[in-house]
Amino acid sequence: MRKVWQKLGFGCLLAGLFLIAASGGAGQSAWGQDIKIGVIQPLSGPMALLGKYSLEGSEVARLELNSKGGVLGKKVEFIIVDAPDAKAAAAAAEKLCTVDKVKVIMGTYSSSLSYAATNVADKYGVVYWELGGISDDITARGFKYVFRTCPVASTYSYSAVQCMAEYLAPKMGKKPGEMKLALVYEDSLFGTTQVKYGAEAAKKYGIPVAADVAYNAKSTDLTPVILKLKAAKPDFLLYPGYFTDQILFIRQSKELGFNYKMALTTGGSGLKDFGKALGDDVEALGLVGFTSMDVNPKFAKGIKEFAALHVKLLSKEADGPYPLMNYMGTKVLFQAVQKGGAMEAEAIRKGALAIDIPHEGTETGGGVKFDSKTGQNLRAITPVSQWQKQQMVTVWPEKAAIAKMIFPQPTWAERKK
Amino acid sequence: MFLIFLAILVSVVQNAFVLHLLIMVFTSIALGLAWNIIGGYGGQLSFGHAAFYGIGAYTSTLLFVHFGLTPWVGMIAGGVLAVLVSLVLGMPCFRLRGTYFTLATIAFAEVLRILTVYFKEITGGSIGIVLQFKGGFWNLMFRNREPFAYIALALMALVYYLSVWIENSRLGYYLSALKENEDGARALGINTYRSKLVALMISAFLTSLVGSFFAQYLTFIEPESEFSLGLSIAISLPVMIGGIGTAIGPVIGAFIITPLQELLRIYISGEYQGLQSIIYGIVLVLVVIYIPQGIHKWARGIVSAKSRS
Amino acid sequence: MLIIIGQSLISGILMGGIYALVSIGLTLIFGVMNVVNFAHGEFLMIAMYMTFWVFHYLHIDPYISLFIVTPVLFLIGVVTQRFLIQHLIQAEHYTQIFATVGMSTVMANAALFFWKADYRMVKTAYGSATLNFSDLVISYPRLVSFLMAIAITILLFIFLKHTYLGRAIRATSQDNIGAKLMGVNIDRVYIFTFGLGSACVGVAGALLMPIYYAFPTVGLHFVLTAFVVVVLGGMGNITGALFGGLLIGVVESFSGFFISPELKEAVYFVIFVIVLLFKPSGLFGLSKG
Repeated sequence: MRKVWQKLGFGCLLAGLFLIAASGGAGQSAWGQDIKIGVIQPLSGPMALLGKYSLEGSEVARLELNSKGGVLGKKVEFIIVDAPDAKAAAAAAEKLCTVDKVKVIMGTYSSSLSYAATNVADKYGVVYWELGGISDDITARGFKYVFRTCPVASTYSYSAVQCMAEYLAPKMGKKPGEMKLALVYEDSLFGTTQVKYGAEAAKKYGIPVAADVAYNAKSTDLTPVILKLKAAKPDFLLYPGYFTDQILFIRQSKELGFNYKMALTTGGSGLKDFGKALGDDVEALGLVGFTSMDVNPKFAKGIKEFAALHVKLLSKEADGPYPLMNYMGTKVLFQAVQKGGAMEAEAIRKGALAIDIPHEGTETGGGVKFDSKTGQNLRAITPVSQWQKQQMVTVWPEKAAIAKMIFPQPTWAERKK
Repeated sequence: MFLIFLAILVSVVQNAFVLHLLIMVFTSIALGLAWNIIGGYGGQLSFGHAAFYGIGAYTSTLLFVHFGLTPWVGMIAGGVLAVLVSLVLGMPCFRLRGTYFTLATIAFAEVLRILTVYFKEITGGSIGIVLQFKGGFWNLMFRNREPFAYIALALMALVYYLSVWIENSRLGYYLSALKENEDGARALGINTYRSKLVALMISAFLTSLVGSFFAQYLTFIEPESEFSLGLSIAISLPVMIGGIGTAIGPVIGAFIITPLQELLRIYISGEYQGLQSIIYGIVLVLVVIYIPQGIHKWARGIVSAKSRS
Repeated sequence: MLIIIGQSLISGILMGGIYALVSIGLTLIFGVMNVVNFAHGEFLMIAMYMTFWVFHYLHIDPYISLFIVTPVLFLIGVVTQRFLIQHLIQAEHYTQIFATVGMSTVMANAALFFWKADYRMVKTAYGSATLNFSDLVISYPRLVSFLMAIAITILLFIFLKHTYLGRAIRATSQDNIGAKLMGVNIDRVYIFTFGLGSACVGVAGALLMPIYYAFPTVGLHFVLTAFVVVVLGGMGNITGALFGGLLIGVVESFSGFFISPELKEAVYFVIFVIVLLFKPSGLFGLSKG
């Protein structure tokens, strides 16, 4: 009997090992002359939609690069691995580093995925190029080869509050201290981080926080949240959330008659479908985040070309700010490689640190200058846009603006007319 | 025997990805075996084991990050806390039978998850906790995979031998009796309530140890990963597939399921969103319906049928 | 303050109606077949997608396409029962749970694979319509769902009490061997019941579309709550599911405001466990509809 067990055990072990070995072999199939770059994005699970958009932005950059001859004389191929959660992200990084032996990994849309993956990449000395995850901590660990092109959560929040204090409050003829801010947010990593910095920024700019209400993004009824906010009578809202919950919030705010002078939202509110879902109700809603596609082309040079390229290469329009952000970040990576002269971590790092693009120098309107200690792009920006007639137009800072901000937001009663 | 083979395997393998897979397999086995103590031997299906896993992960991590306490001790602290919590779960809930008990365990783990997110000041909420790298044995953190693999193997061996010991002990007999027929066992004078509690406590302790280990390995914890229902289900899966109620079942189950899952995700999912989970789900349904007793017993059946003919 | 309480109460009751709708099918299946169906949420998801496609291509309003979606869900339920669930009836609990978990995984990911992760919504004229009574607001689509929940409960109640099939179902749920002896075709009863339960979820899905969104994992958002409602109401007790749903809705609403929106689920989970401990047959006893 024991022998049977042992044989079974061995059998399974061998089967398992065979699978493993096969995977090892498969990874080393001939790639020829192409440069391989690993890509980790959530392509299944709850974040799949934006993970896909992120990947598409990178794809546009890659196809564009290859059509111009590639980098260092070679074309670029992506090895894409789906990571719906943090553990999968760690495994994905493992596989890319050890089986595919890439020198660079890009990713990752979600901060928790990014943490897990960058940890692994750091152990192998592989460059990790973060295009979309915004949690400040990703670059705060001092990993030598982690770089991030997009802005961080603190930038969002500070940007939003600065806009409220320096642009909006004066428009009402009031001082920041006379206004009231409410923090409302979905309680996962994304929302909680943004609001943490929002509270800090509020202190810095002197706007009192009248309410701090968190909810679970899966909620089907936000009445308790809105009632609590109504009781606090805020002028401004800082509101990070996801798609379905933000739609629900706006709808129920309308139903319950909850009005505010300006809500600066971030997250789901940046997608085309958000505007479609809410119709006229989305008018005048503010957003802060990655640069929107509707921005002054004199400020964000190259944006029109990017939009056209996206349609040409992928047969669809770029939806929201993610494709743009990922496109720009990927292009910067290619520049870093070109400058560094080799597909090696140290070379890429030198190349990256040598990049010096001033503000308004990239398609997002930001610039590029990596901090040598953290790898964070210090010139990443988070403009404020606003939904106007179903378009997300940039309204602040004024030189990026393509339209004037509608302020204060009309009340629900006023809209009925 | 087998374990020595595995130990040699670990020392020989250089490829870090394979080592990673092995670590995943070893921990799957350890978790499955721990779950099996109450789920398999005791027949009390818990879908809330992520609660104990999470407690282990958070306890040892918080002690490590805030007080610099070595995870080796932190693990034990986590285990003790998990045992206490398991009493809170078990004492009232073991009066429930079958599906009701399972539903209660789901609710339990969910409540813990919600609370962990809510008490942001202590747990960091959804932001989670990052473990800064501090290498060394006492910090249970290493630059390469090998030491982790050895520790995982040791954990697995520990849980395995404990399982076998329990199986053959008086507790084991009580558990199999009450699993068959609880009222009958009671009539025989067995304190079924206490047996279930002891089994749950042991199970909780061991599960929590693995949770602590993983926190050190991944160096990042957050409520969603540590307390989710998906995790609870994943813990019991290898046991289900391999053969519930035996010590070797989870071993076989994990060796099949874990590499399959990782590899499916890595190789198929890139181009086709969701396809790998469809395959995975179909395999699961087929195995569960057609080989409900688990692969181990099924294979044994085949072998003994052959030896008879 | 009074207004806040009033509003919370109203929102809670309306939300509860939706929970009840989703749970009625589940409790019926539970009560008759004693099968734990973790894939119940995915049936809801299918109903929602179907409502969406009908709206998108045929421009039929969800409140009307309800009459299309419901029979289709009935058929899907029948087929599922015949080919999958049938194998599980005699099986151990863990087999049932794992098999339905596997089904749930396959269905949710098949939806992801074929229909992509995008959120699908239906924009109706009455989507944001409200009825206002002084300062209190009642959302029109939610009111409709609530009324439908009551209507379905009443219809089912009548069906189970006064038709032959209904009595057969009740007999089977009380004592399936006895029912068999009395000449009831148990297998047919099971098939019909599962179909009926799925049809109920079909109604829920169609009514949910004006309020919420369809996406592959939407089932997960509702299934746990549905289980809580079912246990609270008593497994197999249709009216129990209605009241259980309303109760959960109200508890959720109040705890959301007075304690914290983040903890509202925790509150009803705790209540759930307490009820399980002290009255596992449910707050409303074990009577089968």
